Amino acid sequence: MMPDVAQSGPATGEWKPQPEVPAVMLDHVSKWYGNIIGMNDVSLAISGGVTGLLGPNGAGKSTLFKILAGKLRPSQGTVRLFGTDPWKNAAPYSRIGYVSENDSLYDWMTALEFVTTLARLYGYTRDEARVKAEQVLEFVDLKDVMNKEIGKFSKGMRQRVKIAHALVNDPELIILDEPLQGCDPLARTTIMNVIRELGAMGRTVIVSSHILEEIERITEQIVILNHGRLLALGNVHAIRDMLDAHPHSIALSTDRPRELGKVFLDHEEVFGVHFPEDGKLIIRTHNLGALHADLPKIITDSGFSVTAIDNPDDNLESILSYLTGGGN
Amino acid sequence: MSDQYVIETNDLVKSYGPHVALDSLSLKVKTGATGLLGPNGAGKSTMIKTLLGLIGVTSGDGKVLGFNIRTEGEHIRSKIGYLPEYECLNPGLEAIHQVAFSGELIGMNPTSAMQRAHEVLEYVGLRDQRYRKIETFSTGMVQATKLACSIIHDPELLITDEPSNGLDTRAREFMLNTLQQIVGEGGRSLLMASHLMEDVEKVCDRIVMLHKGRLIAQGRIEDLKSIEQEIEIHVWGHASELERELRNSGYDVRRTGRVMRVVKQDESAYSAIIECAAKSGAQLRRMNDHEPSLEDLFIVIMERLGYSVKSSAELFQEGPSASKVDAPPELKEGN
Amino acid sequence: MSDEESQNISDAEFLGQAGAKIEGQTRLEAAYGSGDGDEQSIASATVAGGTKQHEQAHLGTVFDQSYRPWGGSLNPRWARNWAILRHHVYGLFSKGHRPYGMATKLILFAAFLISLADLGMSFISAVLGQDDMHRVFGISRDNLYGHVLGFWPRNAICFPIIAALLIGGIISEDRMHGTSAIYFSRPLNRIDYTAMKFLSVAIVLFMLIVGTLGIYYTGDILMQGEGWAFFLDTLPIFLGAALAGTILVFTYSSIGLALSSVSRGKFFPAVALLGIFLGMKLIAFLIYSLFERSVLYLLSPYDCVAHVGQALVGTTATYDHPWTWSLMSLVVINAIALYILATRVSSMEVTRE
Repeated sequence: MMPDVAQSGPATGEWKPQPEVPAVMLDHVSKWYGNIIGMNDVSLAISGGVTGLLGPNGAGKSTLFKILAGKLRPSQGTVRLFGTDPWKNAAPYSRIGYVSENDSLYDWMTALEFVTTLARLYGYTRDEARVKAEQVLEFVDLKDVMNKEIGKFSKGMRQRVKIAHALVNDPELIILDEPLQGCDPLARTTIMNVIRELGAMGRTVIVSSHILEEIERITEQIVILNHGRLLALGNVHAIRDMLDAHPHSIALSTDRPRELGKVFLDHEEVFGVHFPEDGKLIIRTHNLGALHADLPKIITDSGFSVTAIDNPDDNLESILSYLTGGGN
Repeated sequence: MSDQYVIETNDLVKSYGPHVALDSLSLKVKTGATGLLGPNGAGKSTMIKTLLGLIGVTSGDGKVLGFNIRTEGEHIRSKIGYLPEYECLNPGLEAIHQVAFSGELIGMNPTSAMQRAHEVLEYVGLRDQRYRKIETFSTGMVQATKLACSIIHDPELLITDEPSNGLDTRAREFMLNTLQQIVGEGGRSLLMASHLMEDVEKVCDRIVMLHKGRLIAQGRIEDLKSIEQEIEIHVWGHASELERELRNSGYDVRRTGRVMRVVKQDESAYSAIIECAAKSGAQLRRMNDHEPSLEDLFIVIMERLGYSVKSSAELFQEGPSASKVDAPPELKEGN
Repeated sequence: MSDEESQNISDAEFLGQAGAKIEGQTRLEAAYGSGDGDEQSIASATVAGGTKQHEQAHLGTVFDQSYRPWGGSLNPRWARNWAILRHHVYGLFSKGHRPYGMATKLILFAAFLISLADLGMSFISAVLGQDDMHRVFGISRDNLYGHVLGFWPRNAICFPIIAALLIGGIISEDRMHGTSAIYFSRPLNRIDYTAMKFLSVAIVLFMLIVGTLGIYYTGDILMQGEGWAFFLDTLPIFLGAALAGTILVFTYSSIGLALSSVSRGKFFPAVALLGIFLGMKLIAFLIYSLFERSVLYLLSPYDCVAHVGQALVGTTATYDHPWTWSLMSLVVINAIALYILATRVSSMEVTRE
């Protein structure tokens, strides 16, 4: 990606993204490699906030990232980054930060040299670039080692160098492919924090990760791909709500499950209860929102004590397994 | 030095010139599964190298499975298995042959090595793929093959470095279950270095944490945790009202968006929360005891040591101003 | 872990204090898009219309995972070393060992045939009964010397190429694939590792250079029906040539392995080996042609071996300087190569900090 930007020269900073145009727009995009379909008729628009990109291996995530990075051209359909086609035009890249999964950094450079050099490609003067680079390296906690060669870095440190260089030019759109790999919990929490805050500031962040718990902590806005197709897009809970074939459950921990269960059976939205084990009650419903609205009152009126409430399958893992048929 | 410890070190010091990689490390690792934690650069890799007897130590000593790390390195390496973090397999070889060769390198004779290789590849779930070349494998299969190479000789202690790196959900679950099995059913010991605290919590019951070459904490995970007991609730609708109600009822509440944590004073807290929710019309989508995870523990420890989680404010401070920074001479004379 | 359950006393330790616990507050975070909790409505979503992919989770047949211990014993050092040697040398003939490309194997086979060309010519002359032809191709000082050290075509093309092919990835592939981690996390000494790799190359080269010399020698004697007297007369010459051939093999191997340990790829060592052997010879040859000084041949490994070989076999020396100088130069060249090899191998990593 970096060589592309170098070839078209540093951006002068005059180009600005048009505000009413979405950061990322795909319109009926398909990509095939010979007989293999990488992406199959995908249309989506992402603008502002943090979006998680999920799907099993081979779902099309890396194809999508390569298309967004301008490395691949779609076989069909249009792609627009801030309204421009990334294949012909390197201009949007001055406002984009990209952390790719592959590990090709310039091992002979020190971290500072690397980030400074790439910052210069964005049009900063030598001194400005150096200040920005130091700032961003301190931010990812590489200040102590910024004058060491990247070739000597551990995986987590290399990861943080990549993130630093993606953030150095204060980008509007940030694409992160497995950004938290190899990071220790402190670095991970810091980066997750930053991602959330960037989203709150109005930037557009797209994050892809295999570790669903990480995505769940970062954002509720997700895009799910499988076999190159778009399966679902939007808020995680709304998606769950739409999976009618899988009715909702509410799990309660209580010392009187059967008695409490009887109380709930009288509610019109409840179609079943069951008792998986001692002290646990599962309530089945088609209308989660309505039931939850009445839940506190029912419990209080019943007089029984409840020590835990949960929606056992309102999480990414269950959604993915329902949508992809339970397997990779 | 009793033999219930698989690893013991005594004031172990390793320095490379002025840089001290390991600083008076006195560890005691028991049998069973132990997690090895620490931020990047804490000295975990150096420690593993000294335990394997691969590098000399500056002072102090240690024992692994009863063997001295300074003088009996070869014995140690024949009794432990090591699962490296990075790629270490020859892609042009078939899995079965790579695993058998790694067994022969320990000293197994070729027939036993081959027979064991079959057994062990089946154990890690690659029975149908064992004749394929490693270059055709997915990441999960490569990790499984690496695991097979490390357990072919049935080692008493298995040291793994980031075992679930790069694995998707299913492969990760399988790897962790397998590691648990090796410890549980197999009765072997495991030292697992990982950044994924959920994985460490799932597989290990004890941890050892390093930072800048020093031992920060060691012991059972539950024994170390003494963080405030809180109840976590997820609120949909009328969250601010609920917060007010709770505070009025005398509860200590922290809140970020729709997630709140209430300090649990006694068992009546639960019903109090539900009553306040009924009163304020809030929906309680989730309520449970917030069990501080190992990750929480890690961060609290790091914060105790003076490191904090940064925010984007620190990242996007005021813009660069060239007058502030004096570029060093080598950057000044032309580029 | 029932041992631990019975141990009620906590042995936890924090910052050096036994029994200390870690206190504090945990971080409280909320996902982006989760809102502030004051509104009930959730943002929208779309799910692709009804197309559910129905794949069953498929691990194959019923998978019973149970850990099987192994009670076997481990063989000592020689067995481990033999494993390395086997892995590299058997790989040329059979599957299941170090993979060699088909092209490499074919070229090595062709080299084997070319090496035996003199035996072939000798055989033809014996069959045809042509004595003068046999005088050209039969056993003699020049022919024994030429079998191992003749420049054209053996040392100009054949031997350098097979040496290059053999040493190509021998150590560099361990760097590239990271297999050094497998080797060194075993009870394997770096000296043994290097020695076995060296031997695996040297053995094949030895077979192709000195082994074929032996075949030529015995073959010719048998075909000509020469007697013991002839054998005893020519044995010292044969041994001299064999020794010279061994020195050549050693030199190719040490320089080749040193080059392979320096890089990560397969091409660089192979090309560099050819460059050193042929290039130095060429430069020395040009200097000699221009200035009539043969001293620069001291820099060319081939010429040093050839010179020493001439002394050992007793053929006419084609260099102006004394052969002891060439011997010294050889010792220095090999020493440098082995030194580089030793340093590079000792820096190969098992983990990376």
